[in-house]
Formats: sequence, C-alpha cells, structure tokens
Amino acid sequence: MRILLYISLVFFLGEKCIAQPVAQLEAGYWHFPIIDKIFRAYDLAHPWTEANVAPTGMGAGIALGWNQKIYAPRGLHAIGLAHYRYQSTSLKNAALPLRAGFHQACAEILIRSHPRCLLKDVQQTGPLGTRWYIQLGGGYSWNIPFASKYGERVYVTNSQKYRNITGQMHLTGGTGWHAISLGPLIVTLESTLTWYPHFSLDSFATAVLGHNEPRLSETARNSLLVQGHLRFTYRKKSKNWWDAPRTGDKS
Amino acid sequence: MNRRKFLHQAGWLAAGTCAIPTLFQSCKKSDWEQEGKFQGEVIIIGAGIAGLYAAEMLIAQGVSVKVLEASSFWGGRMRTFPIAPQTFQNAHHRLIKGEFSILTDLLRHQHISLAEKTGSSLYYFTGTLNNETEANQNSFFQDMLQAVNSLNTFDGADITAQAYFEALDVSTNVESVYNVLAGQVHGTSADRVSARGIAHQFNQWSSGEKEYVIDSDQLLAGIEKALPRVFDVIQYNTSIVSVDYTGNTIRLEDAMGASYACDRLLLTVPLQVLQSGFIAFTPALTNNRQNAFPRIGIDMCYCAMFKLQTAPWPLGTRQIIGGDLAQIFEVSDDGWVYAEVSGAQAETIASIFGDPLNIIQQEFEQLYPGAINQITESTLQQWQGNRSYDPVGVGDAREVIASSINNKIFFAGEATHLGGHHGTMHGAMETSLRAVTEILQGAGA
Repeated sequence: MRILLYISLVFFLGEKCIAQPVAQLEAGYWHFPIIDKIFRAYDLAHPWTEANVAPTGMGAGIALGWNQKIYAPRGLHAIGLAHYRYQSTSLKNAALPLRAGFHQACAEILIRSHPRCLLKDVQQTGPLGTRWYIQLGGGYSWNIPFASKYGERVYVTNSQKYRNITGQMHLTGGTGWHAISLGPLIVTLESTLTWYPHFSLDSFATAVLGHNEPRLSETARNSLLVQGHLRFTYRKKSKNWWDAPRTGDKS
Repeated sequence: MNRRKFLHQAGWLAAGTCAIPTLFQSCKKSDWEQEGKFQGEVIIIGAGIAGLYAAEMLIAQGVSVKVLEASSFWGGRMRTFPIAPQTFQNAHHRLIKGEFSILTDLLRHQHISLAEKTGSSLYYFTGTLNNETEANQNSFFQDMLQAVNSLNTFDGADITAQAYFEALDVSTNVESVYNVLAGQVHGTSADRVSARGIAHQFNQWSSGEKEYVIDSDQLLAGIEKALPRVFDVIQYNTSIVSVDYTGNTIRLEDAMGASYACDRLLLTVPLQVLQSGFIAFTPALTNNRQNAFPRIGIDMCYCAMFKLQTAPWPLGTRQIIGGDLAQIFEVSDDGWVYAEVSGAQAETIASIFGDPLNIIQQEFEQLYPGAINQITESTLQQWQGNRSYDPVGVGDAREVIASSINNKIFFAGEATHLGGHHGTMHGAMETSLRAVTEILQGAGA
C-alpha cells in the first residue's frame, strides 16, 4: 500500500510538472540461469513425470512514467519509469500442477540522446529529442515471487505462505525510434537490455522443490532481461506552470 | 536521416531484438549436459527409499546404475514388518508429514489418495485415561503442552528436551506424555533429543503442515509403480564390507568375497551401519567424518503390532499416549494397535528379561485391563536404528556426513538431510536429489 502511495505521488508530481507523460507496453525474455536450474532440479526430482517445467522465458509488463527534456541542443532527455513485470512458468500435468514465477515492481531513470549530439550541438530536434536515440540508465527492482502446487500456495517455513520479497539494483541500456505521431501521442519502438549484477529470489528453490536445497543458490549473478517496448508519449498542448508568463516577464 | 539510413538502422534494430533472445535460448538447452553430465558407472548401497529414488533419477539421466542391498527385500525402513504376514502390512498406516514434498508428488502422480490424519487422542496420566477435553482441563497437562510448544522457539543452551522441561518445572505426572511429544515422535526419548535440535527442525521445516496417513502396503505399491526401472538393477543379499577408493575406480567387496567396481559410489545405508564401522574404507575415512557419525543420534526401536477382538477405545480414537515404557499406541476402529518404542524406553525393554512383545502388551494392559486376553494376532519387529535425531552436541555433524569424499563417494539418506527433514521419508528422498545432482554435476570438481 505504501509503495502504491509513493507511485501515485510520483505520478501526480510528474503529471503536474512535466510535459510528457509516458505509458509503455513491454514484452521480454528473461535469461536467468539460476531459476532455470531450479526448474531443471525439479524435473530431475520428478523422473516419473513426462512433462518438464518450462524454463524461464517470455514475460510481459507495463510501465508508466514521464519524459523530461534536459538540454535541447544536445538532444538530452531523461525518462523516469515505474514498471510492473510478470514472469511465470508452469508444469502442465494434471496430477502435479505447478506454477511458479514472480512479479516485479521496478523504478528506473534513463538518460537518452543521439550519439552525435554528445559531440556537438544540433540545430533541430523534435519534442522528444532526436528520432533515433540510445539510452542508458539504472534503477531498483523488487521481486515478489510466488509458487503454487496442486492449486495451493506453498509454504516455505512453518505457517508462512511463500512470498519473500527481495530487491536488487540493475543497469539498463537500449535504443529506440520514435516511429509515428498519432495526434498528441508519439509512438516509440524500443529495445533494451537490462543487467542485474545480482538477482535473488529468496527461498524460491525451497518453494519449488519443497525443501531447502543447499546446492542451489538463490542469488544469481549476471542475469539479463531483453525487452521490446511499445511506448506512447503524450505531448501536452498546455504549457507547464513555469512556462506561463509571470508578472514582470519582458517577453 | 534519409530513407536509406533509416531502413538500415531500423533493420539492425529489428534483427538485434529478434536475435538476442534466440541466442540466450540456445544457452539453456540442457543445463545438466552443459555442465558435463557424468556418464560412468554408479553403485548405490542400500535399497531404501533414498537408494531407489537416486537410482531412478540416475537411470532417467542415462547413467548406468547398480543397487546393492544387504537384505532380501527393498524398502528398508519403509517396511516396518518385512517378515510379518500381509495382514500386518495392510493394517499398518504410515504417517506422511507435509503436503508439498517429493513423496506426496510421487503418490499424487500415482493417483494414490492421501487421507489427512484425523481422529482424537487419549492421554494416560495420574492413573487414568483422559480424552482431549479432560486432559486440557488439567493444569499439569496445560503447562506441559505450553512447554512442549515453546520448544519450537527455544534458543538457549544446548540441553536436552528433558532438561528443558525440568528447568520449567513441568510436572512428572505428565512425563510420559511429554516424552512422547518431544521424544518418541523424534524416534528417541526426551532425555536424549536436543531442545535446540527440535527448534531447528521446526524452523527449517518447509513441506507444509498437513499430516497424512497411508496404508503401508499402498505406500510401497505407489513407490513400486512410480520407480519402475530400479527393480531390475537391485542385487539383493549383498552386504558390502569394504570400499577401496584409492584409484580412479572404486572397488567394493561383499561379505561373500565378490568384487564390484564403479566410478561413483552412493551410500544410502542407515546411519548405524556407518557408526558401527561395518564397512571398511581404504584409505580410512577422516577423523572429522568418523567423529561425526556418533554425534548424530539414532536409537534402537521396537515396533509391535497386535489386534484385539474388539476395540475398547471410543470410535474415532487414533492414538493413546501414556504408559511407563511403551508410551504411544496408534489404534484403529477395528481393533489394531501399533506401538513404537524408541530411545531409553526401548533400551529398558531390551534389558528386561522377557519377551519384548509381551512387555509392550502388558503396558497396554495397564491402560485397558483385560485387553491382553482380547489379542488375536501379534508381531514384533526390532530395529537397530529407528530414525535420526539431533542429540546434544550434534553441531555440524550432518554437514560433515553429507559432504562427498573426493567427488567419488557420496552420501544420502535421512540422516544426511541438512534442512530439517531428517527422520522422514521425503527427507531421505531429498538427500538423494542432492547426491544425484552432485554426481551429475561433479561436485567439487
């Protein structure tokens, strides 16, 4: 609830202060070998089942945020985003239904520009800077894992239903292209690569396997998320409060 | 940006977006193979649940496996009455703790229904049998229950559960009840099990809280059906007495002088076999490992079963707790009684001149005078080791035993469980998963 309030506050301020709110649809591929290893261990532990747990793979998400022009002659823009991502996998076996995955809430800030703009000023850029751009940034994400067996949420310790929230930093980079303008909306296509130096899902192996397996670390190094984004940026016609003429302004 | 440039850049962008996930996907085709899956010969000593399950997993991975079993039957300690008539197997029910375990997965997959443990308990203290309501009205009993429950959060000195109860001044009137709740349920008596060990097990437990009962025969049938490939590779009546792991190939010899060779050895024998030094290792096991064996507790045990013509207890009663030596009796509505005696009480019975079965039945006679004349059939099984528990001073003994030797000899079995599931069937299976993972991935290599 507190997180929701923070997010609402950020968006309220963003909407009031910043010209260009952003909404984004995401689809991506999670490359998390440690999670796959846990699923492979599950498969190994169930030699009597024909079906295997699908490895981590495609996931989806949405993001909301705002775009802030920083310095037009260099095409520099900053974008702040709050993401919600979802990844799950399941064992489709009537006798042993298993479902496991995680929700992820993430906050990040990205700086974007065109490489050439970094070398010299440009004469003209659009409302979102150069049409093609590269971006770099980072943030923090919280993982909310889940696992259920036979349709019931699993326990990891006595009486405790499994929901151990963990968090970690990440760095992200990518490139995109403002594809089309639809009235006040600018549609952008973007691909990003997110690097998690450490990614942890506390007790995930315990939840999936039903016991604490010491050979399976639950913190992975160098996990990656490759994503494609479809972003809609709203170009507001009204000026921001600081753009309005003030008493004493000469122009 | 002109059109040509735009198309060029957009093309690269699209190709990159499509290709990167595919590249990553190719990295994960088979984790086990990628890490250099072991393909040699494995010998497993022991055809209990740990050995059978390990064998099935290895066979499923294409590894050549042989299981050597000292007795003439498979199942180890799962078969409480291996030599008794089938009626005892059918009448005996096993307790399965936890709804989220490999064992429940196995049984569910075989469509074996798991009935949740139900029914009431009777408690015998101060010379009378009390139902749960009556017992709960007794202040000694209430204090005792509170003390037993508080063991789960105990974080004090390394003392026995008995010492803990004495420190809390729990009445000796209910001693036999707390000896069951804090001792016999762990396969020993309260004066041996560590209070910290009980708390550790409680806090590590991760298989869920439900308890199921299953017909012993049905349990074995489910395992037989789920692990079909292992029964062809079991060699019975083969008691290994020496293991030589000097060279690359491990050489074994059985009591009849026959030799065996393998690349990896998985020992799933009960702890007391390792404690006894029955198997000679060359080179000798390290002092650290040899000292770890006796630091884990495993006690002798009597399992008695008898049938009364009619059940003298109220319908729906499932256990009767209390007595001097035999202190827990599981009962059924059709008159079956199953008594398991471990720890100090079992050793006392062993030291008394007389038939242990008769002594246990006399104990039951205390609770229900005249019951002994109602017995129509009975049997007794004596086990050298029941199930492992944490005694005072256990320290890191389980970790030491669970570790492999030179990446060639591996250990599994409930006593090597590190996550609080020791003393259970699914705990034994989980240690097999650990050992098989180590064998396949080359632990320590």
